[in-house]
Amino acid sequence: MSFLMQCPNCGPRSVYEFRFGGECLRRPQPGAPDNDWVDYVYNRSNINGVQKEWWFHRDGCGEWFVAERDTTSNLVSASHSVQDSML
Amino acid sequence: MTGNGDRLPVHSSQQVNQETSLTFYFEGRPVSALPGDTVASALLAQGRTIFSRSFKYHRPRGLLCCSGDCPNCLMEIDGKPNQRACRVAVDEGLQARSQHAWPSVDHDVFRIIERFERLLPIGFYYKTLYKPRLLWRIAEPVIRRLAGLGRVSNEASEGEYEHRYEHVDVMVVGGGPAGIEAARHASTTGATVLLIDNEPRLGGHLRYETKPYVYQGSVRTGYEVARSMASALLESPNVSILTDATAFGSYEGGLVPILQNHTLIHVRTKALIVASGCHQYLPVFRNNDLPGVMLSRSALRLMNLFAVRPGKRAVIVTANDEGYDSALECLRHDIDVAAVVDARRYSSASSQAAELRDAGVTIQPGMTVLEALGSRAVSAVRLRSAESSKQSDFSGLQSVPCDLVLISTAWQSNAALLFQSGCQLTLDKEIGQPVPIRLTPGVFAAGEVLGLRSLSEIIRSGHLAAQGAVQYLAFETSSWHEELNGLLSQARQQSMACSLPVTGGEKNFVCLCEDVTEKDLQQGIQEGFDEIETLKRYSTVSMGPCQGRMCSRNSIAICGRVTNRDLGAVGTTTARPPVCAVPLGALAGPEFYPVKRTSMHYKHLALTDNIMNMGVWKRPLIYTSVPEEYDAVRHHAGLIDVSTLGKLVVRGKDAPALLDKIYTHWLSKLEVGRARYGVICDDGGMILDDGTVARLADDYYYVTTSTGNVEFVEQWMKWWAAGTGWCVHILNMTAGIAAVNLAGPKARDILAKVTSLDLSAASFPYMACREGKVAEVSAMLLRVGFVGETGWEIHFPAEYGEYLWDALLRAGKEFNLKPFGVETQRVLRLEKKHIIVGQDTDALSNPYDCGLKWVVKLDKPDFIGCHAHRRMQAQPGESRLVGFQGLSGVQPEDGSAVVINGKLAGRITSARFSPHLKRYVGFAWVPSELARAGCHFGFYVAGAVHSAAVVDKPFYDPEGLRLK
Amino acid sequence: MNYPYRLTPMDKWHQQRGARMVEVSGWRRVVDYGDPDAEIAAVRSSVGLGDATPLTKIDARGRHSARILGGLWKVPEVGECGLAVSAQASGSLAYIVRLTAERFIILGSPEEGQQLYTRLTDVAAGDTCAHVTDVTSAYAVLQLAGPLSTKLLKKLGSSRIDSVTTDRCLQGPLARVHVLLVRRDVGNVRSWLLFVSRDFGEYLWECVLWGGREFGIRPFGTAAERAFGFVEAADVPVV
Repeated sequence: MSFLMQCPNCGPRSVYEFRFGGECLRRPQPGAPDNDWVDYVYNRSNINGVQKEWWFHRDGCGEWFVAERDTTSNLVSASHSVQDSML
Repeated sequence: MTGNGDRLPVHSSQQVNQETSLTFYFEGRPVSALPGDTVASALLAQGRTIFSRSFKYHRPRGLLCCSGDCPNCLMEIDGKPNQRACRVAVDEGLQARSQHAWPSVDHDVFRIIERFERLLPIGFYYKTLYKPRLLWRIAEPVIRRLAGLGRVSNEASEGEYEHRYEHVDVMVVGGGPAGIEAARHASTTGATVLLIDNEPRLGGHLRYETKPYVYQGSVRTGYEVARSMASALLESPNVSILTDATAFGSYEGGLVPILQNHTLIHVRTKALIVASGCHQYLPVFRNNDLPGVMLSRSALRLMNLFAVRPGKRAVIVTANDEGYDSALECLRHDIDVAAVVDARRYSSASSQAAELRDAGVTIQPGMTVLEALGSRAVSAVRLRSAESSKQSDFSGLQSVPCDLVLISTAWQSNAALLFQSGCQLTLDKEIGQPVPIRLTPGVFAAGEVLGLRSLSEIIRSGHLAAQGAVQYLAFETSSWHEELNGLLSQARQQSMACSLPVTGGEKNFVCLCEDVTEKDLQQGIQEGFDEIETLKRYSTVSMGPCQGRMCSRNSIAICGRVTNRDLGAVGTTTARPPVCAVPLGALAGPEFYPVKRTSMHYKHLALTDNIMNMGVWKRPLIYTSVPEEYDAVRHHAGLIDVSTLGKLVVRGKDAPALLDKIYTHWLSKLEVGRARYGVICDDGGMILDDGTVARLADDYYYVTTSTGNVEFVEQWMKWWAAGTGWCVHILNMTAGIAAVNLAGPKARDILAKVTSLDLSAASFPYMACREGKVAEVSAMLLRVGFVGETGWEIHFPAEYGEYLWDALLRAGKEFNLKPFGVETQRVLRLEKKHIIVGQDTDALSNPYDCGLKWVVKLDKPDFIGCHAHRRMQAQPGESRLVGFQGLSGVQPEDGSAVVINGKLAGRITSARFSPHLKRYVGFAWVPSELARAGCHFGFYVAGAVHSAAVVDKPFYDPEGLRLK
Repeated sequence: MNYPYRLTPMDKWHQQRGARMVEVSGWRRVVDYGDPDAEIAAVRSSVGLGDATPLTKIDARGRHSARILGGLWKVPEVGECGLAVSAQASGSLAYIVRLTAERFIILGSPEEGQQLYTRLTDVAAGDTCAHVTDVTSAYAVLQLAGPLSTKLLKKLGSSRIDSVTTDRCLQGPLARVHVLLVRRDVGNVRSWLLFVSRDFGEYLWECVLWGGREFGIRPFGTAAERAFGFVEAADVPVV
């Protein structure tokens, strides 16, 4: 694994500089049914294709961002600073 | 042979300097050589013909490729096994030794193994020695000694290898005419270019050719063209050139690692141009591995670069015009050419053919070699018709005496980097080489790797590849591939592959590295391994040091012929990195093991050498002894460096909201000037970390985390803040703020000597925080009770670490203040039943099971873990973390099993001897029905089960009176 | 040490190598390691390493940080650094490093540190989302100077060192730890400031020296700094 991750602040960098934060998920509202919480905490969609993911640039700017990565080719088509709330 | 051996007259093509000489050692004996020689060329000049012994049968092997593509000259050089003598430049005093032969490479007693060939069938290990089992145990040490190549030194080569990192726009692999032109043209557009070649000089095959070329309007010899192109490139801006360097892989993200001597260079390139050329390979015929059988380009190198004559009387075995060039070079160097044997039906109509005929050389069209004769070297070859395929047609064959058989029958692309980059290549029968049918975006190819033969086409292809690369960098569409196809169609008349003799002989070697013969492959296929990938694994063909360079094409051809399939249908094996052998030390590189030291580190070192590694941190474990340090803390005062605690500053008007979300506790309700113990959980309800949260102002919190966990907590907070639009900032101040914990009944007296703050319990109560000066240094003081005594954590700028450590010890001297280490702190905190996250908890521990229910505030509408915690409150877990005391004198160990009724029921997470209770105390996970004071359970230590009792209160000062 | 001395994390290293030390603005600093001429020669012809930890470093971050700083100085673009040219007539000199759109490190001399911090705190006060923190203690600063400094840095990390021209910055891994690199050439002397978490200071110092041994790297002190005008020419006194 040696692909380049595009950091919105620092540009393309070796993926080893980053921490992977997993697939972007929307957190259920407090009081949501158990099933929603179980899905959120334990289940992942395991997409075969382009996936929106959290990445943290540990060795660089020290910020979280969202990247769109093809899980089959590791090509990163877009990355952007976090705008939308994930909470 | 004396002096520098048998050398050709000085000529300007040569890279050796015949005016002086140097000495190296082979098998411990001095050998004279010329500067510019390789170990192989120098030994050949001294008359050596046998350079190694084959892997399995210990057959003598001589120089074959002289380009690092075959295994025939593997030696131990300067203590490193498996070095190619044809690639290693001679240095004064260099030590070369043969390997895999005893007593010497010339007289190897293991040659006898070949007599037992029949007992060593293909798949030897799969077929023999597995029954009875005992046999393998006896045979294994013997086989291990006989098998394998070379010996690896047991000494670590520390600091020998270095790494370097480069970033370029265009990387060109291969410094022949195509690569040079590609680099030159790419650089004219302003791109940064890196050109690498695995030879000491640029020029590719032109370097060792004296044949004339028309280049830039004038006729010049090959080596002159090479020099002219190389020197023109040196003037190009933006081009870096690395010679004697090998690109050994192509990885995603444009990563191409290069090994150059002792440096591993990590190159990231935006575009890759592969101009790595091709190599000749050996056709399959009987005794094709005899010393004296040599690829024709190898002979050209030896003659034109190293001034060494590889033989006296040569037979040229060819199927293309390059063989005729070689014959002419032989004549030029006074080597008799006994015959030119051309597998093509009609011999070449080229001017070279005419020239040879004029010189009286016999040209035999439609013929090829049947077998080489000789025992330690070639003495003659027997020829046969190239078109016959039946054994019976080979009667009455002529034999031609010779000591050199030069092979120029077929080429194989050096396409490993193209394959690894994801390009698709397919064998082009007309060109006789695999050519790309689909190239990965950003990857380009040029030169002989494409099967191009004419110099003008080769140079043109380099130009086109550079054009394509530059257009790729500019995101422009490119027509380079169409133009390249035009070049390829011009090239399709140049060569034909030599048809393979079918003799069924046992000495027809396909794979020189692993001693796999044609017969072995046929047998493997008959046994059912008829797919090339399984045949490869079963027979180990193409799995040796040369990685299929000599045998891949032949094994595919044999597999196709035996299974009656087209070569395309047979397919190829997968090319994986590394392309060549890379020392593990080179991959490991320099030893950078990050170490964190606190600002008081050298004060600790002056007192103790008992330092432990806690993650990347160095911490004093014990200064004097645990009882002595314990006594100081409990009865006088102790001082411990707690700078390794993670320290985060959380600021902003939304800081209270963020911390309420992160921690299970209320923190927006925390008063300014107060601190609170807090626990962080995930949404599964599991504990991630704990620490103290102090509020210094409405919008200013100071948070401590477990040692080693601060990056995680910082990232966790930033993650939950991301995208909220909140005004909150998290600053990691761990390194900038040193901290000590001053604790014990005399702590207040000591601190009062160095601060003007009011330390009375009324104005500075437990879990309060204040800012003030300590020994003139600005500090933040926090009243905590981790060790169970009156105490302050003093946080202050790290650059005062040594000063303040000394100042506090000096102030405490009259009160018997002593420094204490991590081990004593562990005992002290255990007596207070304070957990350590990660030691007493794991990834499946929640606050309810750990007795931390009180930190979870379910009245908060939302916090991370709240949903899970609501469920947990209603439904208790199956096991609980409890305090216990040992009922026997046996010491429980961290990690000991908890045993109930002979069954595993939990584990002990921490246990220490409590000087207060005079018995062992600790934490353990036990079934929840036993999680009540007084319940007994067993723990398993040293082969026996011992008894322990659950204790629900702290072992020391359960009411917390000493913290007042 | 009977009064508060400020020590850099490399202090012990300096002492063990026989450094001559002086006190500058409360910090203990190296004058030279016994042969100032050799130290100067190393910087001139190959590469030298100095301890610039005493530099005042102030972190400014937040949505409004660019606006706040813009009231004082001309604010550089992201990835760039610049001498703070005062928007008003008065004000202490500073060197601004812009890490991201909303994050800055402002450098000043140790002497003027407190003044600079107070000034920034004042402008950031009020109902804004910008926070100023003195992070002087949090970083060790290694000054790597000399013509071969870039070549040395390429041995320690995978960052695009070549892309960093003078008055530019980059954050990336060096010897496996996070480093902020600021390129600040002084005259025609190539110079880098390496900001690393203070607790890694001594580790990185040793790694840089290890990487530089093939170039004949030498540590240098304030004597060499003065010779090259790192003090004057930096304007912000790079101490």
